[in-house]
Amino acid sequence: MTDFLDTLRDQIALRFQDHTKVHIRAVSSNTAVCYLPELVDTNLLSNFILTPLQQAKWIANAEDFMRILAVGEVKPLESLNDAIPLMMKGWAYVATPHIGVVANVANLPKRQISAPENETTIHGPMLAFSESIETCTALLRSSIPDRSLRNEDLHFGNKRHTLIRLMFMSDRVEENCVNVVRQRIERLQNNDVTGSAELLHMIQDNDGSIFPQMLLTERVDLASHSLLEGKIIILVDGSQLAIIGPAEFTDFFLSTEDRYMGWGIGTFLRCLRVLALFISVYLTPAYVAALTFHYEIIPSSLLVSLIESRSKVPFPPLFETLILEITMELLREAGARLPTKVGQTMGIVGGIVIGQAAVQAGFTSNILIMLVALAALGSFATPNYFMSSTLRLVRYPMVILAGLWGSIGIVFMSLLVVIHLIRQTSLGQPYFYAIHPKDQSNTLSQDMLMPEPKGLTSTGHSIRKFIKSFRLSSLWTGDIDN
Amino acid sequence: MKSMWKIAVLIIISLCLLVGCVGTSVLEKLGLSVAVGFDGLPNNKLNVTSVILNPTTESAKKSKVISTIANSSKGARIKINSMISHSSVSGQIRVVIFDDQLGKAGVSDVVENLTRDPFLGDSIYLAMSNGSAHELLSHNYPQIPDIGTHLYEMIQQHIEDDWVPSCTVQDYRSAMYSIGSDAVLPILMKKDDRVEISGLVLFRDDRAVGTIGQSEGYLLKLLRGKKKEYLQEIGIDRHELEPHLVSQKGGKVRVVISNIGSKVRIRLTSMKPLQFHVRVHMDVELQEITDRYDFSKNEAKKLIEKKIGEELQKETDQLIQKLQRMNSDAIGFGNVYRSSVRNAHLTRDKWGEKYQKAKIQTQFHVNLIRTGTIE
Amino acid sequence: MTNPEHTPAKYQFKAYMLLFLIPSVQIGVGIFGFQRYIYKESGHDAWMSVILAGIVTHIVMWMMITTMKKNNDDDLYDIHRTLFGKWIGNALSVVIMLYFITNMTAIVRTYIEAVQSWIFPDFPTWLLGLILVVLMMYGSLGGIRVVLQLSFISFIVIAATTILFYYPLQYADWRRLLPVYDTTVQHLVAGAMKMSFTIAGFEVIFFLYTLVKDKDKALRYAQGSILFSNLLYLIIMVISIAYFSENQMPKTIWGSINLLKIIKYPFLERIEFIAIPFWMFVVVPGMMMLAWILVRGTTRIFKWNQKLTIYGIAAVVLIASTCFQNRMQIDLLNSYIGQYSVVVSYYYPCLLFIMTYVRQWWKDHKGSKES
Repeated sequence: MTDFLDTLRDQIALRFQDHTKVHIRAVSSNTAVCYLPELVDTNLLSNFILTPLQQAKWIANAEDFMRILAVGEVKPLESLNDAIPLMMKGWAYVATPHIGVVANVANLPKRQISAPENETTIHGPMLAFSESIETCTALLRSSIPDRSLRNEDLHFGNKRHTLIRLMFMSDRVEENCVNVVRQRIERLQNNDVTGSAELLHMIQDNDGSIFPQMLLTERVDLASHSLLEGKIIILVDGSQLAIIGPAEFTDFFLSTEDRYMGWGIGTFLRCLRVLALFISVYLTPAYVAALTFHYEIIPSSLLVSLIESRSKVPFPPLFETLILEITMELLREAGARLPTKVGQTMGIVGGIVIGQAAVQAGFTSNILIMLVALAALGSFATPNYFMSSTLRLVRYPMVILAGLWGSIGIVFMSLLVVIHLIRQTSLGQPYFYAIHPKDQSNTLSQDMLMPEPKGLTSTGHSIRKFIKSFRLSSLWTGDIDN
Repeated sequence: MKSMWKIAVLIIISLCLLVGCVGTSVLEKLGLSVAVGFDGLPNNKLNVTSVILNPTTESAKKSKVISTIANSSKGARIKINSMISHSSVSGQIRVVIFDDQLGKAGVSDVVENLTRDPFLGDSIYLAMSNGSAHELLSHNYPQIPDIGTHLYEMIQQHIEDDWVPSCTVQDYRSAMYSIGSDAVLPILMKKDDRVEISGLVLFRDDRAVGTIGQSEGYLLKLLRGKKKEYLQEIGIDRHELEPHLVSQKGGKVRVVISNIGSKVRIRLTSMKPLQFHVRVHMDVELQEITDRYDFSKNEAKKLIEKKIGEELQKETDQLIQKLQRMNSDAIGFGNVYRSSVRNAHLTRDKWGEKYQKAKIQTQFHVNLIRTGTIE
Repeated sequence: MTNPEHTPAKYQFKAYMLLFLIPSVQIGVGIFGFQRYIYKESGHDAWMSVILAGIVTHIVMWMMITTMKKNNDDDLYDIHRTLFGKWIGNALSVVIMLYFITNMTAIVRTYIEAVQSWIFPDFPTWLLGLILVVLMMYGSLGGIRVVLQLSFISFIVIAATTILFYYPLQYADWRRLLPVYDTTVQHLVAGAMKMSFTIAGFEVIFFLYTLVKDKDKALRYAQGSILFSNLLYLIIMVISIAYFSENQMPKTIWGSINLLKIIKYPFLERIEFIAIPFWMFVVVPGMMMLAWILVRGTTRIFKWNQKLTIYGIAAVVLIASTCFQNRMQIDLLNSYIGQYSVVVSYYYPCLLFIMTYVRQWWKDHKGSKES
């Protein structure tokens, strides 16, 4: 009865380009197992599919298969076409002349869970997402073992058939946001996505803006905190970054470590980051504006050293600053692309040597090098890498406008950026709050970074309530109430 | 259609950026003037001396001095511009010096034009030079790398800690425009290779009418009541302190006191005849006394307090009479009059007549807080 | 009669936002040099004129909110229609809109004048006007939310700049404020009238009241905002009187900027070079608020396209502001607007108040007659 096997071989040859890659293992004259060998776990295959099949007497229908095959996931199929996408993912297709099922014996290559590379903290948990969506889901489920944590799977893509998983807490999340996400992903059915960053840019509210509207993170604790706050996590199979939405502007400046350190140090660190934001965006433009237009604001004690250091420089302050900024960017980019063994040395040598030599050759002034370095430091204090890149980018038009129009240029650019941020939305929720609306409901007190009210006197309670009512910035809150 | 709009907007933006240029003043291309001196010449001309910062690491001298003769201060700037390689700007001017010729003729023209320019600060110090401002500024001082900044720091330090009252443009103008007070400026004098503040010049409107010395300047600042000043040396007659003096020497007993806090109250006690009463309460610390004095008894302390007060009062009365003779109301009795009398409708001229005839009494009350670490 | 276009819940805001919205429209450029006009009328009792103007403003604010409450929480355009009928009501609304657009032009031109006087003498007028107008357009296209958040930022900028005013106090002579009440009541009232252009701007409550979520608190916060700006003007007036001497004040065109000029910190001097450009954070939200009001009007009355209206307003303001070339013309414009602002902000709300009550009484009277 090899007719059956020949038919099977032909059918598979039709559907697969290179059919010799598919193993067709005949168990009996009318039962065969087809699979792609590099994708299956051979132990599972032999012990739990082949062995039971070899011992089976009679298979009449799909229920018999379910009884015989000892693998967790077994699905009956209508036709061979349904089996193909699953076989591509490592499932084994068990065929008889009348019935076919697929069984999950996949063993796709995946990375072990490791520590986060790019978002480090000093004391926090060292769990990072890996590229397998099952691992990510497992990590999140184990950190929030709650029934209201929902999963939702969406498939899309022409060629890659990517699995996208939405996770959210159904009792806290905003339903509109979930609907928006679903609609946007479904709209993209014909696109292929190589990772979550790409997906992010496809479903963002406004892709024309350089400001990221949803968070990308590889840390598990940040993701689970966000779930508890009522945010949506989007996991993409094959990418180790999770998308968190909707996000607010200040979410990009928060690190999970602030909560671990306690309210005093946490608030101090957050204020420090705001200061770093202002330094990185305004320091160099202020230098350009002051030296090109407003020499009067320089106090007399600084004046002599400034003039001395600039007297040898052949360029006007605007060009000098742009040259140094671009050099700093080159250093950073080169340091990111160099192989690890060479990277460290080149970074140090490049930075120190270029800086020193430039000053001595009279190419630039030492004050400006210090300012540019400070500004770069400030931009790296931002926990989220995408936001820090955006801030570095914002600095360039600011410097150019400062060189053209002085302080008016700086204020113009600031207003432009602020208005842009206010107009921005993230999944329909407002993106930037200068002042947060008063919050009636009392969500987790960890939002507030205030001391726990154990043993606070009644004065303390009323002070706490008073301060809470003045949510002057959403540094202190993660609420998405409007 | 939409892309056409976008291109149009981009073109407009680029045009604006290219065309909308603003004049720049790049720092190192400027000849920053830090101090300016005005000498009055006949025919309403001015000899303007400008100290321009010239910091290069090679030379020890951080500034150079340029002078020219012109009709006005900005006219001078035009001429100075033609003499130096950088363009001369006035945004960092810290000190403006007039010579005594200009002081006698009236400095308000020059000061008004200084204020008209928005780039000059209001906290520029004004001073008068004893002699020609040009000589003061252009002399080659071996110890001083930059005369402009040096003068600025010297005046600033004297205003903060010593006996010179604040002499910024704002002080001068507000005094000149007020109905009841007159301006006071320090006098700079060149002495060998140094410059020192030798005294204060008193103004009536915008003309200089007289000078006072350092100890009188101390009292003047005390009576004006604005900033604190510290040390003053007082001489007291020997036999007044007789009961408690330990050692026997000749001459006056010199006491140096440090003023820790003082409260001055000037009151108008009567309108016709015009009478003022000035009461000063001083908390002082005794820093030095040239003779050995027995502080252990309470009467001794009270005696020395009384004597210090009397001495100060005597000197203050002399100062006030001197001011009245010069008709310069530097302390501000006119303001007191105007603020105490309703519907005074006072003008400068009216006050000028009244001031010279006013009777002003002073009373000092000195409180010796401590005598240092030893008695 | 409730307007069917009454705003959905999405655009409504809580009452305490009024605390930031109203001052950002009131405190525009008037604050730079308002002192000398009042000083010329009331002398060193000018601060009493400021208090007088403030009290009157509180009363008028109460009247405005009561008028709106009685008229079914409508905004001014609807009140016009209710009280005067469709045609005259719309005509009055158009007059008010013309007033607002002239106000915007005056604000833009005065701000440009301040920048040109103090920082950049050769900054092209058209360029700075273009900058302001582009920002206003970009913000207005984003709706009321942009105005709300920016007005909070402008509030912070105003408060921060006010704190700077402690430094000039060391040059202040407090005796200049004495003797108290040295002029006549007429002079005080004349001074208070001169304050009107500076304080005016609170009439935007007519258009904001409909958007407030908790209207019962609106009066409280509106009065609070007036109190804030009154106190601000009072403090600056008092400091100015103490700082400038008697004959110095009338000559000082930009009083508040002179106060800032003398500030000296170890790392920064001449703060006015920073304060005046940052004042754009205060001017632009005020302009956006006025533009928003204008757009609401044109949509309501003429049914114009909103985006095109914003572009149109921007173009008109830009062109109009470049027409004024020198200081004299700007002063003329400002005094002209000042007279009209007294009418629009003070007399007109009283009239509306009286008319609303009359109408109410007439309706009740007519109703009781028929029954």
